[in-house]
Amino acid sequence: MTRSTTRLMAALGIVLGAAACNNDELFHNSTQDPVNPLFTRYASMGNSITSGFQSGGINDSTQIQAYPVLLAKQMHTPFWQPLLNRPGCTPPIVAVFANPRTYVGGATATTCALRETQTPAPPYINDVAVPGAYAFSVTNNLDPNQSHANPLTTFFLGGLTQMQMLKRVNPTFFTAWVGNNDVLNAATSGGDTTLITDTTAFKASYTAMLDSVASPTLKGGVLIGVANVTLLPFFSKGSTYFAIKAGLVPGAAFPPGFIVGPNCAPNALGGSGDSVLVPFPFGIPLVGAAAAGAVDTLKCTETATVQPAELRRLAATVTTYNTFIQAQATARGYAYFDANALFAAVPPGSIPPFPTISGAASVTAPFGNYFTRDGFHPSGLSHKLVANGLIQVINAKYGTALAAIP
Amino acid sequence: MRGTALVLAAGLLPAVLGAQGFGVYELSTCTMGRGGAVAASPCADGSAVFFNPAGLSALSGTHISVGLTTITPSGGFTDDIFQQHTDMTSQTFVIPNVFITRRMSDKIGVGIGLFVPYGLGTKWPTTFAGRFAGYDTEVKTFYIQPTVSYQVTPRLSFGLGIDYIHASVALHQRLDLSTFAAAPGITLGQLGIPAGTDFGNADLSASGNGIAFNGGITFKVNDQLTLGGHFMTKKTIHFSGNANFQQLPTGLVLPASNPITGTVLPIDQFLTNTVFNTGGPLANGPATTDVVLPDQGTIGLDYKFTDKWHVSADYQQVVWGWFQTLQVNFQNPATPPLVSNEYYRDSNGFRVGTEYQYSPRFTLRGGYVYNSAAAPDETVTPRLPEGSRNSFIVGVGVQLTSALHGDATYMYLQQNDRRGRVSESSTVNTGLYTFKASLFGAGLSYSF
Repeated sequence: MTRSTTRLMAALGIVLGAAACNNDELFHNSTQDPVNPLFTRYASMGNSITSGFQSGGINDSTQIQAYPVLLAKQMHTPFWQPLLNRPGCTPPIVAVFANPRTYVGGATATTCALRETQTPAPPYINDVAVPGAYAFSVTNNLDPNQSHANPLTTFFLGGLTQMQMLKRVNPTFFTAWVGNNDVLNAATSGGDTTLITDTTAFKASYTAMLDSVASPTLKGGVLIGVANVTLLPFFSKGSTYFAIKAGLVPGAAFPPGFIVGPNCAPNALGGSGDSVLVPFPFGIPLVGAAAAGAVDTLKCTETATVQPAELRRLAATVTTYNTFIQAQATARGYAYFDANALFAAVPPGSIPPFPTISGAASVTAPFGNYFTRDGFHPSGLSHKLVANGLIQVINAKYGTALAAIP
Repeated sequence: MRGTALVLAAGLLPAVLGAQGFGVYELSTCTMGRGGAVAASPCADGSAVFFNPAGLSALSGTHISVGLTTITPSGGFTDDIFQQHTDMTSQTFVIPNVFITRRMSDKIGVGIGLFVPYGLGTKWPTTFAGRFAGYDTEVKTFYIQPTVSYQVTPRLSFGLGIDYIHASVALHQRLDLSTFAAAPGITLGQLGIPAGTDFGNADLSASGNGIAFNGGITFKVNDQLTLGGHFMTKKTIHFSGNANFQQLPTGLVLPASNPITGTVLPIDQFLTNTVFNTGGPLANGPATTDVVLPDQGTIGLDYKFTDKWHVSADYQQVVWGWFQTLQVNFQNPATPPLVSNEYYRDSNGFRVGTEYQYSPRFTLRGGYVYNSAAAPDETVTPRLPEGSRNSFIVGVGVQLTSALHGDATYMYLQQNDRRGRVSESSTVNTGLYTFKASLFGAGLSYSF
């Protein structure tokens, strides 16, 4: 072989070697690496709040504002949701006090958009929460009396239970905000205490959930206490109606035809209005009718209102639930998070005692900035508040360094 | 609820057609040792029948050669997010070849070859995310090509062969309930069925025959330089076979208020009664399709530096641009035809090889091959995780007796890592495929 031929072959070898090195790479960036191995796989159980329900509806826009999503971002962990196409199922309310109500995208209350075709298809769902779920529903969707299945149960889980889907995630960390519907549905149904899940049954369901979620892979979790009914702007106290009617609330007034019964007066004035809750879907239409010229009276003994005894029963149930949940968290080595304390600490007036029913704010934020247009479900601002509260609790319990959401 | 039935057949033909990924050019141990760069100067083992029919004119006497090539591929897929790696299931394939040639006169040579230009397969664990695109694909072909060559002048020769082709394919894949059509334009996934829900196993076996032509030319410029090329025509294979479906239990039970029936619905029983039943969309039955195997051509040169050493180089193009879509038809009227977009593009191969007569008994060989990919970025799937590739080859020939010659060759094939997807329905690539293979060839040639 001549010297020039040798050089030619060497040059050819270099060119070919360079071609061989022209490889593709994985698309994996650092934001996909969990900030702590504890968060390698995170799953969230719960109901409408955890799934991202807002303004009486849910779609992919509201879902991505849910606190588990915000938490997962801080964890840098993959997180898939069962995203719904817009306008949603049910579509969120745009103007709650309009007659008729208006919904996102001009839809109606019965509109139900399908699940998005996510691509690539999610390997599982991390946010396994289903609107309307009870504690019992977490492990059983098929009991005709206790499961409270609804179309979203299928849309989100497709024949699995929350626990079965969670097992597909095989999480290292979980959060559970379970039990709200076991008590709050009674409140929003006029204080019908027969709808409250008996505390014994609740404890059994909750225990079954915690027994099931345990696995060798699971390293930690947070149990979130159920919400306090009196914090929700869905309700106004009878005494608040009384005060507005009496002209004691600056800038607020009822039409002349709207009369507030004397039993709505504050307890100190001989009424029971401090311990009667009037749901806005009952009270506001009365006001609206009066504005249209009718004459009607709000009586704080109406069955549509939450009566003092019912309120005491609801509060006691919440306390019993949360005492149990906190004890379970302690016994099983999980963190406990009291969301009620978080909302009780927001600046005074942030959660209005009475909704704004006229003007621009009656459309944009009738229940303030912390709750959405159904007076019940938290806003994006509240989800951030909850996520940051959870971050504090998690960091304290597990010594992690999750960054707060700015 | 018909669409998913056809996912089965979508996997069939790309595997057959993957000449770059499933193509086999190692049809002679001697040729393999020279990197396949033999268009201008085929080996003397009769493999000119395939590599350039005109080369038969350069052979004297009678040659009978047999050979085997073992191919042991390995590879895997790593997903972007979890960086979870799945290895392909290890397999070894044995590819035979037989060539017989005879010089009939000063100007005419004839021959016949039996070879396997398409073969191999891919196998993945049934837990792999890509199992719905195909977890076990196997392609078997054989070509029989009678050939004649004519020496126009001492410098110029032509050759022509007619190929009878028989091909068979077996495809196995899982069926994903979430992709199943619940109503026109609506999948069960849109109603909540979790992605990746195995509800059936689909097996398709089919075979077909076809005819092609393979012509070649060689031109000897001078005592050192020879030019050559061959061209194989486009050929149509009509595959017919059977699609068999087996139901797999999902264990899913839809709760009350579900959007399908509104009442508690055991999915498995529902599928048994409406999908896998006689006449249902996934009832077993015949399936057919026509496939055009594209033209391919090679041009090359061979330069003789000394009496003992020559170097050759080839350029090959396969006109995969013909293969844009694929339609599979089912005899079952409940199962509509499937149209699958493939969007293949023409592929190129660059080959260099050399041969050195080390001694009267030993011949040393070496080569390098670069192939570009036929599959575009959007159709790199588990069935054919194809990409551009580099192959490095060494070989040796041994004159065992005055009439008997033996050859041995080793090739290492390294495919460039290629981004791809695990589902045909995905609109983005979700990870990285890796692929490599070791090939070993051995052959015997008897001349008289």
